[in-house]
Amino acid sequence: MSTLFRIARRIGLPAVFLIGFFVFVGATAPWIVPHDPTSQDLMASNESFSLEHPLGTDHLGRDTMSRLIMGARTTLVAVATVILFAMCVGGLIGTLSGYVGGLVDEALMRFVDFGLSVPSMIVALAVIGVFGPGYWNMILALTIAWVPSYARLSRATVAATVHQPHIESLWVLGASHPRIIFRHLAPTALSAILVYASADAGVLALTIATLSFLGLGVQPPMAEWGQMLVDALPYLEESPRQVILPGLALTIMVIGFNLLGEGLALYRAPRAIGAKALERRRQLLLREGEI
Amino acid sequence: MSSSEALLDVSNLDVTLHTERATVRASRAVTYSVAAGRTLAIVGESGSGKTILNLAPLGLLPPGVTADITGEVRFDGKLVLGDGVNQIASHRGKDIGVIFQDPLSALNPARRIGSQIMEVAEQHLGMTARAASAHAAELLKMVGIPDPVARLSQYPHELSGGMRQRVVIAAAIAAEPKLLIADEPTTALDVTVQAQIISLLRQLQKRIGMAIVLISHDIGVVAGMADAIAVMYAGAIVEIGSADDVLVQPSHPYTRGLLASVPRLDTPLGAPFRGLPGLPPDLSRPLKGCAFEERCSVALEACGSARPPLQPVAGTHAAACFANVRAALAATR
Amino acid sequence: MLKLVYKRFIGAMMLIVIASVFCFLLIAAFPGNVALVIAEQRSATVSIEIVHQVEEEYGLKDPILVRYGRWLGDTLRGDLGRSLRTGEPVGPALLRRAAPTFVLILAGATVALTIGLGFSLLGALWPGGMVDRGVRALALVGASMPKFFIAALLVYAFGVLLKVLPTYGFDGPSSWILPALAIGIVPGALISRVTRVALESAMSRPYVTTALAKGMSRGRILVRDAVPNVLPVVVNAFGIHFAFMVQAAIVIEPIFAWPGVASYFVEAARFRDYQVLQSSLLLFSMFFILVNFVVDLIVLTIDPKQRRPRSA
Repeated sequence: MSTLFRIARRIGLPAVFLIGFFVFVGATAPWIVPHDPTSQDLMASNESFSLEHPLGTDHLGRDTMSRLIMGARTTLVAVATVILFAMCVGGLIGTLSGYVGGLVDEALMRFVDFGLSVPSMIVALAVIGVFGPGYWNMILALTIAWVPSYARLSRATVAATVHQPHIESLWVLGASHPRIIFRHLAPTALSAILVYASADAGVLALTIATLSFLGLGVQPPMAEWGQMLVDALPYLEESPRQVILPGLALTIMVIGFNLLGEGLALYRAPRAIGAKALERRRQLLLREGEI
Repeated sequence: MSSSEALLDVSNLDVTLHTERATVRASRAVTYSVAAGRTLAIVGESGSGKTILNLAPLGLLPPGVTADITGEVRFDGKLVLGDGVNQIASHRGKDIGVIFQDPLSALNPARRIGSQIMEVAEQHLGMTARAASAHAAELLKMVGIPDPVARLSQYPHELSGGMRQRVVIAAAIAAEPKLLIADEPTTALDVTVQAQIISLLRQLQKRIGMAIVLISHDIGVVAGMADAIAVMYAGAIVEIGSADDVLVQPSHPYTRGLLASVPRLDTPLGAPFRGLPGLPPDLSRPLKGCAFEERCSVALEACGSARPPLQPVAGTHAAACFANVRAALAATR
Repeated sequence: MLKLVYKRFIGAMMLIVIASVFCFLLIAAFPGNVALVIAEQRSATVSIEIVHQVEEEYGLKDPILVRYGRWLGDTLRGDLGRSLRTGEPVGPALLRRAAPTFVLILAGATVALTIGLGFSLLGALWPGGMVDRGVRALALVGASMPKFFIAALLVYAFGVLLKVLPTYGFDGPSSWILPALAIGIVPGALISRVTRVALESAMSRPYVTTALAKGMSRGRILVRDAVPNVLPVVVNAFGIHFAFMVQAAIVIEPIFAWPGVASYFVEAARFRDYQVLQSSLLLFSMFFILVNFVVDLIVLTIDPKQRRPRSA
């Protein structure tokens, strides 16, 4: 327990708390929502805070709190799916590229370079433009848009490790290619990828919300924050709450991801000593005395 | 070397460094002084605390390290550290110049050499840019760099290692400091260049009349230049005295070990290299007895339980060794 | 130096070729799909005959290389075809809509650069202090906010509550302020975070210790020693975010009813107007590649190691 706490403290308590909170809410969403997030009640539209609807209702009289809770689930599931797909495809391309090298590497990386020089949302929008809007098309589009960065990252780690003595010795010992790739290279790449993914999840969450905001991502009746915000925009003057709440929820989640990414990236970095620990050390030295 | 005429007078300096991972007692009860215009060499293995000892009071530790400093430092007759005072930092660059081990990283790669020297003259001598530029060219000439005016507009990567160290020296002496702290000034350089830099430092010392604290792990490098030598081991001075005394009559087994490990011209070819066996102790752990005990060939029983104090050997020459004391007692009997 | 420029130029050219292949393939790799969509837009009831007619008309049955050659030839001559939805020629429409987007991006870049440099320098001046912590927190929040949310908040604050600024249209400088803020705040926050980290790492380098030993003040060291060393990082980050503002314009333009290329693009994606989609995608790609190329050149010129070879 105390080990877990120490790890959490080193990553940063705010990050762990925020992401833990959203994951918990997302995982339990269907059971903790006070109302059915899709049931409309036009008689009770754009209501303010009340006991019945703690965060009010939207223009169709749907309970805002329930929709916010379901929105967390929608976003987290979509983010996790895209990262998983992009990680697998990109990781494979990158590992292959870094391992085989030569012309294959050169050709694959040219395409990756192009993919990286075009903003991912433009790529995603182009793909959606071809296949049409929809949840799974969005997942596909985002995966295509996100593959290049994972390919580039895993190639870099693999290219850096493939010529290290312990891998070259496997080669000499006659280990098979798949064995070297999956048992030795991929795990190294994975830890670098995971650190990247945790910070990247925030960017992905923002892109999903933006696509949905444009009506090209998550489709109704699924509840999603970007969509909630765009639905409420025409009523900005009467009930700004409906715009601010989903925007705030998304902002806080992305802050969580950003802090998590920072915490993981700096996990092993040396830090200055904290004020409390410093005082403890000084006391300890005094007690040891002059020896 | 009495404290009344000393330029720098350090007494009982304790430096404790705290990082997140460890607390290190980098120096304990260190006392020494340097007379104006003279050279004190501080010699010891890397990790013996010789660099920290000099840089910590100046506030030149890397970020992320917290230093607790106690003791007293007097500079030019004035108390600059201790008793609630901490003013050494205000002397940086003006009265106290510093040169570092690696001239490549010590120089800013993105700035021209000229501006890195000129800023010292502008800051401390109140020179205009034009005057400072002329001054910088003069300094470059003084440290032996050919075609100094053209060099001013070059970048550090365009120079060789020895030239870079000359630039670092030029910047350090630009305000004609009374004290120059040279931290391993030759370690990163080619052997042939090392001797040139040392002889340059001697020339400059004569010309400007500054005192030098020369920090080195190589007792051979300092031998020709030092007036006095302090040998450090595990954060404490184990032997101190005039260069002649320390070099000719080394009184601490560690000093003798250091001297023995210097290759000599009269050593027969093929003779085994005589370095010191073993490693210095971990300064993040409490030490009971003499820090050198584990590596010492003349260790006594007392060495394991108590820390030997610095005892005079003769005149200003002192060493911290129980075996010495016993030998002296035996001699008087 | 010249050799490096030449190399970068060849690289950029290759990227443009890849971009053209990508833009072409994106549409052309799904032939049935294209014909079907065009047919759908032509008449309410789609029959096989109409699809075949469309395939015939657009030459969709020809070998792919022939089609690529034809498309590339047309594009190079400036003929970008007609919008499938409105029938208007795409080339002139793109040209007309480029100006507002350019204004938006330039104004946004000004905001981003001001915030990015201001925040990071302010924080680095007194690291760990109140200002630093405040500025860092602001940058974290700014970097984590969706741009459409920022836009909505700005509209609410200045349009609804204070009623001091126009909230829609491309109509003189006062109408530029809110869109510029909406598009510039996020990249500004991101640039400030990157720059702050770079400044911090620069301030822990040995040359800073040297400068301290020379008696220089922290502020002076920050400006004269650290800034020149982080300049390449700043230029790179700024270049990336400058290019990526096209992406941000996709949400910002519709919110502020801004008649730019980005809203044209998103309309095309929404109605699957392949002709517009393809052409604007190509335009964007060339813009990104151009910006990247220019950024590379700037970084090359500000890096002293590239400027002059080491004299032996």
